[in-house]
Amino acid sequence: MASRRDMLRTLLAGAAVVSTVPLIASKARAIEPPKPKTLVGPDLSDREKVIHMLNRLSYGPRPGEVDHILKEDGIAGWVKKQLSPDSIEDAGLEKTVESKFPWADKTSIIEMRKHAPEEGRGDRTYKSVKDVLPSLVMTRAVESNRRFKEVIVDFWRNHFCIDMGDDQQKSRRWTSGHYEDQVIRKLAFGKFKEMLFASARHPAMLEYLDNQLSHKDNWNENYAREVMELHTLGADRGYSNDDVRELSKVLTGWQYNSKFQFDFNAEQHQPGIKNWLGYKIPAGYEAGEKALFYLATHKYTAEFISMKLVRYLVNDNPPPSLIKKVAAVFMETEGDLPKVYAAILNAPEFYNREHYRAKFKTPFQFIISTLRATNAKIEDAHATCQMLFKMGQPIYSCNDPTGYFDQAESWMDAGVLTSRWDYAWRLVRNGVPGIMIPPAFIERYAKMDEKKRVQAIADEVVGGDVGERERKTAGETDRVISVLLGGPSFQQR
Amino acid sequence: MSASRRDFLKNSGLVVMAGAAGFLSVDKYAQGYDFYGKGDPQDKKKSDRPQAPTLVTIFLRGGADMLNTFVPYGDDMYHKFRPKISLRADAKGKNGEKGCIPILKSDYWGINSGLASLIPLIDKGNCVPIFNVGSTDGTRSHFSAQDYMERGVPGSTLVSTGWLNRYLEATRKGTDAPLRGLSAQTLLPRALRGNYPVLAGNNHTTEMDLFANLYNSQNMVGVTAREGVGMDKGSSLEGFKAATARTTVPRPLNADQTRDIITASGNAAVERIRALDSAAQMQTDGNYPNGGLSNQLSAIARVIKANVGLEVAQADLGGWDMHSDEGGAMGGRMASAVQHLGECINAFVEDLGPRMDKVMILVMTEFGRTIHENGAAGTDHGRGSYMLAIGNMLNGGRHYGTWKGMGDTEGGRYLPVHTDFRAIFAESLAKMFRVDPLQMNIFPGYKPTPDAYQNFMKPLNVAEA
Repeated sequence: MASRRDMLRTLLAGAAVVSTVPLIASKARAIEPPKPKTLVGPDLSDREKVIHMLNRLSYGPRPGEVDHILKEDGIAGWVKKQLSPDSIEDAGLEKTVESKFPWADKTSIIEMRKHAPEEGRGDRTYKSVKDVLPSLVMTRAVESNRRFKEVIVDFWRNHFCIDMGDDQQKSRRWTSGHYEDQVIRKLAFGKFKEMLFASARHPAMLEYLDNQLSHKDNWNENYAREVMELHTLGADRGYSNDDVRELSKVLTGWQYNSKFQFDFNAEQHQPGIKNWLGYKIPAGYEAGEKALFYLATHKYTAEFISMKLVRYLVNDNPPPSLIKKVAAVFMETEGDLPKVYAAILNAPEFYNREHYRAKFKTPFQFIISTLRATNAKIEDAHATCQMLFKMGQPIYSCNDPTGYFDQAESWMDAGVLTSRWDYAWRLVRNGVPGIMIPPAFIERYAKMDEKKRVQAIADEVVGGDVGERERKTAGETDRVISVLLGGPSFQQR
Repeated sequence: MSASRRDFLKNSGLVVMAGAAGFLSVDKYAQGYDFYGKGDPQDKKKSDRPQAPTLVTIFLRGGADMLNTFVPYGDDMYHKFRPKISLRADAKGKNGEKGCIPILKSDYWGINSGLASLIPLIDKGNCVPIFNVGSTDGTRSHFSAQDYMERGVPGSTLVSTGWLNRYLEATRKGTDAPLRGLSAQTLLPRALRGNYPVLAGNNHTTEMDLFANLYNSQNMVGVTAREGVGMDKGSSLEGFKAATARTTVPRPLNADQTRDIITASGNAAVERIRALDSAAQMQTDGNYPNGGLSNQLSAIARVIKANVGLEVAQADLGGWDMHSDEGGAMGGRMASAVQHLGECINAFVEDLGPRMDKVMILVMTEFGRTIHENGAAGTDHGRGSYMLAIGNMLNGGRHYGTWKGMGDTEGGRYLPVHTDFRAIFAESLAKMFRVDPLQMNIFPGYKPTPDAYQNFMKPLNVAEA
């Protein structure tokens, strides 16, 4: 509570506040009280715990990885390392990124544009990372040793969702590359308010949610609405349409300039006092900054972010008791993200039996885990990124500022499983352009006798727990592997 | 029941008010269409079943211009606003053709001559345009506007499912036909997304039998296997829903429940793909042109002919975002786009023949365009546009929607929206399937005013099996 009060004081200090109306009315939806919980089945074995950990805190195990962790780091050691990603060696991937994606690490947005590839037909070309940014995201997700970082970066990429624009809005075709690096990746282990602030001022977000078009006497409400509804407080949490309108006025003039740098445009800023959430907010840039910081540390934001994180990492129906614990850490630490993550990762209930294999892989998670499980080498990820289009989850092309949905139900088109099945069959036969499975991976199983082979593939590739009919799969090694990758068990994590 | 909903339904001719009970014949009208009728679905041969009513939506992506499709050529202001691209009923193109051809027995309305193939259908009363239709939300972003329209919930992102899917879900039965919904393209459009399993394109895949064998409730995992799990025929997530619907705080999903969802979804895919396979054997009797929409419509027509219970299907046609070179009497992008549209619709109508008694096409677009042409002889994003209904159940011979002349604008730039697209969607569902879409909350938050009701079609007689 203290921190919230402080935040308020800070917010009010610069503002000519005369109102004492509560900030957010009490009609907001409360998070339900915890219900008693029962375990389903026995406690997880150590091996199952490692499988669970690798399925949730990374995109699934590489062959042999479960045994390696059991012998070496153990669960606690692995988690501890993963929470400090910079301490993990990742030179192999960094070399790949440097050679294949030379634009990717440029901290200056203009430098990045200089190095970005061109898109277009004939002489009408423009800079664009449209084809390469998804490949970069996918390559990192598969190959990085900073496993948890890749998982959590995808969470934030989706939370602060933007897309790469279209040929009408060309600047996001390349600013999105900078956004991925300097907003999402760079700040995923910082404080929440830093990421919120960086996203609010980034050209990609300013354009995507139209704040760039929000002018004096002609404000655009898109960003103001989504920053409360999607980025911080959550939908329907006690603010009104008037509050959306007033916040959009507060943020008029938040624009980028011709050098694609954030540049507050005082001439386009709406003058006068705004009535936002019961407060009187003065004109000027400072007020907007304070409004964002206020949102970033609000109790509802803590609850909303914690709920989404627990839903993402633990269960589609996130346990309210855990959300409450995590939200408390968020409030205490002013949204210090590694501490918030640790509150989930180190919670004993993370390993409850009822969460084991209880999530349905999204198309992205399916693809990445398939490539990991088979030790696939990525020469060119483009064709696989196109598959994600067909599966409904193309990278940086979500149709909607809400980001992709995280729960199993949202992914259940009737055709969704046949395309996964198809991908597995093609992949194992090296029929996916740009991706190769090392012959050694197949040969190791091919040498085994048939009975042992299915067992070994089920245990090592799927991580055990395959269905009775899957276990009876007959035939050649490549057939067995593709059936098990495309079958129902591998869709669970 | 709110007054406006009552008025809407009363006006739609579906409901006779009867005292406090509200509806008369509620079970006849508000229970939806039942393809299998009473009794065991296995007992009925396909040929014995009555044809299901089918609503086919065609989404024109990019914001199609109304004024150069249905042309108010009798209005001087129209020609003034569009000096380069306006269409005249008397102007001669390079081959002597007119820019537009008068329709609806008027010297005011014309149709783009590229779309002349629709004139016989219009004259027969089997094709009606609806003018100044659109969204209550003023966004001029393609993706937001398309999304709002396909969700059927303008201005809100809180509802993520599509209106056609919500119709399927709201009328779901234990014995649903396998192919009640279909998207004729590979990616499922938003209108068909949601809890009800709908097949996008033909996802036919390697070794379907093996796939079917594994995506089966008998393929349980040893440790947590339970006995007596039945697979719901033609359906899906029923068990999952019942299990989680019990408490206000849903219990965490466990591995078994997740596996049930996955298995049921795979199983639903198998059923639908097989039904589609058998439908693919049907013959095509229409003279379809080449092109994307053509393939989609002929695929939908084959499924309708196979009589497997198709109720809603969507096809998409892109390329309507004509910021430049929209064209006048001398050709241009609009003339060729509407020509393709018209030829496809005619081929579809010809292909289905008398089956069009129970099939309605509804053509729509996310928004219209500016009333003025721009500097590149095109038009920019606007507000109101048109819809087009085709079928044998229409109250034809006229146009629908409210038209007050070219002087009636929004801010001097756009055609205003006088008819909420949901009014057309709701009337279509109500009269095609005899359901009450408002009571079923298929359009959350929609409160139609009595004048929203257009009465552009007659209710179908849903045959009783």
